[in-house]
Amino acid sequence: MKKRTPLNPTINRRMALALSFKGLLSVLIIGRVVNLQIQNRGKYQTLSNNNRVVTKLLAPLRGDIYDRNGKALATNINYNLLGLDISNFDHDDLAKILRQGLKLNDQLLQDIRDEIESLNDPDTTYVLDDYLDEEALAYFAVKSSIYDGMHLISGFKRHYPIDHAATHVLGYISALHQKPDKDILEKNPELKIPGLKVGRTGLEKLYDKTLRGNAGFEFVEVNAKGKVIRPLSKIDPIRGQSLNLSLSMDVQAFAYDLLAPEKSAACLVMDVQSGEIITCLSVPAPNANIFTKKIPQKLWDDLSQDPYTPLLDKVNMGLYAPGSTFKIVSALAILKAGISPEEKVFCKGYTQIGNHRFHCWQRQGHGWVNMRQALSQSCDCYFYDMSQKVGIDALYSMGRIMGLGAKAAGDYESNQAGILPNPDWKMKRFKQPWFLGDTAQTYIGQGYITTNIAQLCQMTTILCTGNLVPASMIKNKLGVRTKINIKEEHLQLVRQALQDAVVQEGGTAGGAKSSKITIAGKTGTSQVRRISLAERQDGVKNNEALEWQQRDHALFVGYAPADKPKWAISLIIEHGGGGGYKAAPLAKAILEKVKETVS
Amino acid sequence: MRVAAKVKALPRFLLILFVLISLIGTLTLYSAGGMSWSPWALGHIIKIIFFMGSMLVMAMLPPKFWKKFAYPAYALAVLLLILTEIMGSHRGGAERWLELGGMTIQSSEIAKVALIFLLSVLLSKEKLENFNRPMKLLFYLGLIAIPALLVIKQPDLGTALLIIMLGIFVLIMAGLSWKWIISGLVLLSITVPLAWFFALHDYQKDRVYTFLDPSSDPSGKGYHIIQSQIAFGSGGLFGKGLGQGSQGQLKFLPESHTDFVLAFFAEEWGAVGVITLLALFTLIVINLYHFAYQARESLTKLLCTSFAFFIFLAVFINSGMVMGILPVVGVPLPLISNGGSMVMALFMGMGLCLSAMVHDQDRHAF
Repeated sequence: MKKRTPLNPTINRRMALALSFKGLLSVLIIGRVVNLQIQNRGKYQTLSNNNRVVTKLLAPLRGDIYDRNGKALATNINYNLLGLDISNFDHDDLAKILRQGLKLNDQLLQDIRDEIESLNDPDTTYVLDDYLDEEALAYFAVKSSIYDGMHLISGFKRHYPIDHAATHVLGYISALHQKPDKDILEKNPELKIPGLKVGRTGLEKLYDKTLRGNAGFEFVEVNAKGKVIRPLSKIDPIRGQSLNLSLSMDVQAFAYDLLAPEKSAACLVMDVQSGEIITCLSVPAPNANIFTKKIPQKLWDDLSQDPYTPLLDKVNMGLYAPGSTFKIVSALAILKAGISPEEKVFCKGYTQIGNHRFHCWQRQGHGWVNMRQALSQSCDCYFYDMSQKVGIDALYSMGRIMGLGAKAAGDYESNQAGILPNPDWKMKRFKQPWFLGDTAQTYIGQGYITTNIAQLCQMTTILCTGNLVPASMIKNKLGVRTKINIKEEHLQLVRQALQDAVVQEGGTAGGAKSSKITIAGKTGTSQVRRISLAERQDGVKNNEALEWQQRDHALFVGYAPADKPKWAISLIIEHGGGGGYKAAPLAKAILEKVKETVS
Repeated sequence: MRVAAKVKALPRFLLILFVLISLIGTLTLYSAGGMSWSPWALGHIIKIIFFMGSMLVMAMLPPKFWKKFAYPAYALAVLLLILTEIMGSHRGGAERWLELGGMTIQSSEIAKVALIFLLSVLLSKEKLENFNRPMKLLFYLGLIAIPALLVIKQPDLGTALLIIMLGIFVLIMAGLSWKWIISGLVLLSITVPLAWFFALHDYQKDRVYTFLDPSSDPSGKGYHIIQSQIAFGSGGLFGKGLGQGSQGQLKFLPESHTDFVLAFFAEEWGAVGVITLLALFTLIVINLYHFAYQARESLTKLLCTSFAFFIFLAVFINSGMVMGILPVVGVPLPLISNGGSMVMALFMGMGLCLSAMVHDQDRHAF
């Protein structure tokens, strides 16, 4: 039995050995615990507190904008910015450094100081992207190694290769001055990036979210001074998506060269089937690249006060009386009222309504005209006459159907609705009753009625196709087509009259006759001033004899090819005089160019 | 023996200590999980309840019964190691884990228990003079070497060394003669430098470098250690409180639910907390030794002291690693670190131990 447990004494002895060995090791452990947690507590405490993880936002690169053939309209080019962590600087010291490096006058320096002071968040980085020529860059490159919180940032700025021809339609980008609301910031964290530029007008604004992209995040471990100890992880920013526009730069540039000498003009060309916009031009237009940096005050003042209004997008924001181009709508209203197109009116140069004489532009009168002739020759008396028979309400309804009195549908960042008047409107607006003369005026597109180029083009496309197609700035993005409630034979009649206007003897749009493409259209002359009785008696002054401001606007709306419409155009030459004289030939040239370049 | 008597013979104090430590472990994992039962705390306590239950059941059966399984268990452990070698998943850079039907098993823990048990069983039958003979010794060393070599192949040098240490401990406790112990030490002092220059992989050498100076590579290998020390140190005397450990809670501390759980614990409970926890483990070791001293059967003595050493070694190495005085070896802290294999190994080992302790007075049960 004893033999079974010979090891016991040995084991017992060994146990003592083992325990003492373990005891020693335990002392070691306890000692280390004390060392770490009690003696060196201060050191480790600081270390842990200062291990802060900071999220750095990485700015996404903005998407490019291309025309329908892939030509670059807006891109990003590399350049340098100066970033200043303002919490690191005393404002006076900072001013001194900036004065030395930038060589600016006191006013500009003060502007910068004001901007810095106005920044709410002391932890933010103030970004200076102006005035950094090579010398300044070198100066700051050196200084940034001395000053914590001063860094040269390599950045990107927007570049518009085509300068003038697409300024309004593209719009521009600039940094937000006010911090957006919390909920907007939550959904769009990239807006937190200091100095991030967002679209302010035009397509840059309309498609800003798409173009902006998504911010990236970099998690870095920083110490209490904000110095980066090590990067932890990174999510790359997602570049903004690019836009492929339906615009044709070839046509746009051509139209610009054509219209710029006219001092103040606008035009819009649309594909009538798809709604794609081929050209959207407003002149004069400043060089788009001036907006990528801060504009000098003087330049801005010059632009704002320029009588030709280069800052205004005339396609969407310019409102004009449509003049005779509106007769398209009037004719349709007349037809819808049940009046036969063959019914003739005798034009003797004026029509008496009440105790007021309404004059036709053709002082001698047109003689007997039916609707087709009245449209093609643009006889006012026909329409004055019919206006009294059909009335304002019918015209108002037709106007609404043709898209007037409301904003033009489609990819417009901002546009106006204009005015389509009726008795209710006049009462609300002027607290005056509606006069018969108002009806007469409205029928020929004068008086209270105002439209913009976008609406006129939309009206023309409705005429061509019988459908409302929203305008699209993006290639191959097509909106929903809505059928319009107008009889096809009525539309056809008006179309024929518009063809006559171009090709027939007496048609006012003969200037648009082209050998390359059949055009149908309507001219318009939008009166800017009331002609006084005295002038009438002396003979109304010729447009050339009038100062620019007082000359009538020249309008043209049309489409081509006449038998199978593909494109519609609306065009205005501000103070351009008679529509047939000025606007029609320009529209023809542009349509010919469209045919040549756009498939 | 009757069941009632067996239950009475259970070492209550020891069991209370296990329960206490298990609760601390669950609470720590709860905090590490972001003050939530998921993803670790719930699983942990379920495993503990299950395996503790199994441990008590094992205790009710006599050692005579368990002895039969000594060789088969060892063979199974070796098989598992081989399987891990072939099929193992590379989590954490080494093939330590085996995935079987949705469970992950750290086969090295099972190997440790099986080895200890087998050695204890075999040695308890030996006579002192007998087993110190070279041939016998070689046999025992062979038994130790097999699992150790398989683990080295994983490659996991640290765990292999642990297996060797555990095995040799049993031999020493059983009475390995001093001449062998000294020759062993001499052999070690020759092989270690040789191994350093010729056999160690780069990353293993790096482990030692980083251990000696963690700040030499603060973002890579030294990161664990530095962060762990910071967590420890920032806990101070009383700790920051439950759920307040910024290093751990803010995810600075990697592996805060497994190997580095002690650092997480230290940040929340401070030096006082750590010393208390270590004291609990120490009490377990002392308790086992006390029992072993008074035990009749040599198997009981060997099992108790060897498993006490098993627990001690795990705690010592884990806390040393976490506090930066030992190189990083993947040893979990028993009952605190998340991981079923350690819980299973521990309670099965203790089950065998308890079986011996409960039946110690009954010679026939062996």
